[in-house]
Amino acid sequence: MLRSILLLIVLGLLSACNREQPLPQQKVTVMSEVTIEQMGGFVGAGSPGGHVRMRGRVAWSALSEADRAAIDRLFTAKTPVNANLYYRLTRQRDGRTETVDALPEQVPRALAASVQTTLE
Amino acid sequence: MSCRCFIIPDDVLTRFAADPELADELRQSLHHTAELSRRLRAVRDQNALLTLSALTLPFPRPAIPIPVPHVLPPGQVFNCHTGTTLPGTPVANPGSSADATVKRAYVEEETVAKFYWDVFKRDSIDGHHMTLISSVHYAVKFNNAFWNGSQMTYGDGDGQVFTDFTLGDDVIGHELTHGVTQHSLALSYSGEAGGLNESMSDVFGSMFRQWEKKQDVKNADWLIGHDIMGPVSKQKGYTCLRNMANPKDPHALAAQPDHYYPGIGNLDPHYSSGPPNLAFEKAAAAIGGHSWEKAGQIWYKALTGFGPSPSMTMPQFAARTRSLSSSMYPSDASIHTAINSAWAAVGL
Repeated sequence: MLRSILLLIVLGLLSACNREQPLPQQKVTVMSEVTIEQMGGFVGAGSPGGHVRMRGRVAWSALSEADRAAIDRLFTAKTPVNANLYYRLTRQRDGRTETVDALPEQVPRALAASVQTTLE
Repeated sequence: MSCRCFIIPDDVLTRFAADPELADELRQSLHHTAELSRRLRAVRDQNALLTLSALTLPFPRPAIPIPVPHVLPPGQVFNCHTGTTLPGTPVANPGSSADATVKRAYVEEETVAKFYWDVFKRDSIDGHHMTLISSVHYAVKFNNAFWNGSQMTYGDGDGQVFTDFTLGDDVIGHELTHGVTQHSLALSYSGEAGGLNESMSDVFGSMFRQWEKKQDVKNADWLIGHDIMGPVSKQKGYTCLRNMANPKDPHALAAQPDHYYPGIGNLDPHYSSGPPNLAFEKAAAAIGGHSWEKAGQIWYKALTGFGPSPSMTMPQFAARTRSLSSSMYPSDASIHTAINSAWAAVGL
């Protein structure tokens, strides 16, 4: 009886040792693009009943290192904006959608310049 | 050591400023630049907060003598040359500039100042003779105009959906009124206060347009942004951005609700401004004559006569105008009736 119990314990330990250990998870940050929408001002584009949309998008890979860093800082800080005109930036990061509002002078020119006006 | 400014992220400047391998003088300079950069970025937000703080100080502000005879506040126009750095390059003698946009921005900002003085005895944006600053040719084909806490900024439009934003006198009145609001009721740009903020700019922008054209309430079209509609917008049948007399107008590029409901403050201020816009139009139409003579005076007193209230709700503003309609015109009950009925008609 005692021998059987010891055998089971040894088998259990062996089984545990042979089990494949999960690889440490590598943090892969996947970002394909940043979208931008101009909000407010006199026009107030983007309001629920409005037909005017001012949107743009830029591939993450097309942005300079400095612009990416500036955008990263905006998403990290997430400072609330209380302004007449501002930009709303959105990006997908590791499967999650992130949104942040920013003042015109905080948005990299390459991103702001992508904004196009359309009538819907 | 001469000061030169570079577009370098703050964290890079801070890292270099702490690098022991760099000369002390350079590190000090980098440290100062990083600090300056951070502070400049915060200036805009601070400007609004500073205005609010100054307005709420617990001691009376010293009276600033108003020039007699009154002279309009000085106006300046800057040219951004399609760049986005504000304010841009100063324009000498903007009133006689060969650039029509520059000249228009100058003439109209001075005319708005004249409107505020002649009609409401308000001396400039802050009531204390503040210099008016406008920047034109902002960015490339920029389809908007805005107030940034200290100045007006106008885009050229793309020539398709919108034209040059200085072509609309209501645009200029609208933007300058954001400054007046900042220096009086100090309304926020969100919630019901945000809707009221936008409405104040539409109301006084439209009133200015009517005053400039000498229109009474019957002749006024109550359209916002009519003069900046581009050919593509017109081709699609749009006549304006917003219609104060009919917020749901299908010919408006940005139609709005015409009735207040709790929760409207969760929506964009340009949308939620529909009911208070309509209330003003209804009140002015019921009173008759020129909108700035009675309804405008009540709205102006409600905006500027009670100090800051950044989170004011629409029912609170409506109640204030109802009360003012009785106290300002005690011998004319029809004015109170007009104001009361106008708010009731939009659910307030």
